[in-house]
Amino acid sequence: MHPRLGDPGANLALHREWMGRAREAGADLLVFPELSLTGYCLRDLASSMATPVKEGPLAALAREAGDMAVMVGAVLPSRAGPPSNAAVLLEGGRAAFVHRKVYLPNHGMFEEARYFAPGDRFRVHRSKRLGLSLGALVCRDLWHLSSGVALSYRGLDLLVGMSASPGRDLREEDGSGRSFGSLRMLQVLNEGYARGLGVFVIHANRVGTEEGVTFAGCSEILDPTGRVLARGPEGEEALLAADLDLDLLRRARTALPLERDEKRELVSREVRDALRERGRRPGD
Amino acid sequence: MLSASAGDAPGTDPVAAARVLERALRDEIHRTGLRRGVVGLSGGIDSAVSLILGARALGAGNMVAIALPVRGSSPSSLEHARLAAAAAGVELRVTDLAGVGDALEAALPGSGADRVRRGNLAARARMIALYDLSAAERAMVIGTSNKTEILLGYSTLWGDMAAGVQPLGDLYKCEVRALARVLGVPGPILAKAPSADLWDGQTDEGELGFTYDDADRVLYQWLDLHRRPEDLVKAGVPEALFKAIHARVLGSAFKRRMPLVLKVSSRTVSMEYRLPRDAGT
Repeated sequence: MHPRLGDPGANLALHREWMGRAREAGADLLVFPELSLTGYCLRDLASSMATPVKEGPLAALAREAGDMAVMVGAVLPSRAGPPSNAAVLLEGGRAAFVHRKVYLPNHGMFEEARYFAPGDRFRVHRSKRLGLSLGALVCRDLWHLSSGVALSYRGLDLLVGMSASPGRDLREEDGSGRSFGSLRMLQVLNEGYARGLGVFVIHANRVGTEEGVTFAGCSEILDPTGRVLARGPEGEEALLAADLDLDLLRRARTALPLERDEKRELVSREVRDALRERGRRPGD
Repeated sequence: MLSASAGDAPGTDPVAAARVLERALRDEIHRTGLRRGVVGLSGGIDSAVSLILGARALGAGNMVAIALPVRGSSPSSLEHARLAAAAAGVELRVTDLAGVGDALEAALPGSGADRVRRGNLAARARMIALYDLSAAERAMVIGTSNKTEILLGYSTLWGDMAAGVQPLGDLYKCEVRALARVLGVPGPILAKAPSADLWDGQTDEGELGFTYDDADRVLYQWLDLHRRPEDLVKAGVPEALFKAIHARVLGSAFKRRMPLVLKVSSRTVSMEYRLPRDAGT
């Protein structure tokens, strides 16, 4: 989708339209991209965009979603002062799960840490309705591989990624396609998470431009073998749909038992030791 | 000069760039409520590319192309502007600004004898014409500045830099050339030496003192690849060349910023209070 920048009213209407289309397609779960309710390049509009999960557009969408679960990208108030860039799962008429973006990029063209407060946890949500355990990562969270690993340690079946990823590095070097290098990276990450963690991946990346920046789309749905079940077009709005055969989780993890063999205690010990050796750094 | 391995030179894919820029240009103009664009054609490659991109983004019927010759403009520039307009499928308008230039030079003592002042007057007279057309035609002024020119400050502040959007602003000159070939810019325009066309025989490279290809490679490696100046020199970039480019980039920083606001309050416009220009669209 292509949200309007800083216009939650218009975006609420867009969400209703896409929810209508998803319902017609028989969706159990609909995932919107990052900051779908507000647009991305908010700068000093960010704090005025904060909306509580129990009121306003999120409450309205939760009521209207009915039997469908809907993941929305929103600015949430936070006790830290500056608001959070968050993924909100609306399910059963309420906000059933929230992930606040942990990694706020603040380099190059990015200035998220200037306007947002970071989240401080990676948690999964066990959805009885969907019959699986899902975790959400927002854009840059995905680029830190440890985010997916942290979620997988809590028992993950479906990784939901939502991005407003600015297209950059428009070079063709490896013959893999004439598109943004940043998009290629997201595809590599999606496949790596799906196969490496043995999970379904739904990644919603927005389209359109803001402030001269192009968001390239190419949302994807992958199964736990890394197969792409659906991929959206570059730069065009699209509703992607796929049936998730949940028994594939068992079969993929049987064929390639990485989940069974993962040495969580050893990894945890090694990480603790490494941190002790490094010395605790501010911001860690 | 520099070793020419593949990753050392700017290499934005021109086919992908044409596709991305066409879409982004349409989006950024339409969101303002405008449906049309205006490009001032110099007869050179940059304005030809901007016009063709504009025609692809908005439709040729929604583009206004205008040549704005001043005294001293070469007749071939007008011919090349016609070729560019024809390639874009847009009718060329011509408004002779020689009289405007004469009047300004007469009113501003000494300006006519100083090449820099004369050049600035011409660039700003063109800016006035383009913005008048913008209002008359409800069309956004589409700029023609490329990344090399913007970084080197080889432009007139509030003159040729004035535009609503710069579609070529993130492409080095060599990348604009590659894009021009993909977009079908006519051969004579591709072949000629870049020139601001402000006096007879003027060329950009003659004025700058180095070639665009050299500038592109140095700028790309220094700024995009974060290579250290001393490593560039070790790799074969003449120190004098780097220093000349470095001085131009730093010395022209003011051209890439809005005027400074002198701070006295706790929340100053453009420092603590920064709004997206595209808000509400």
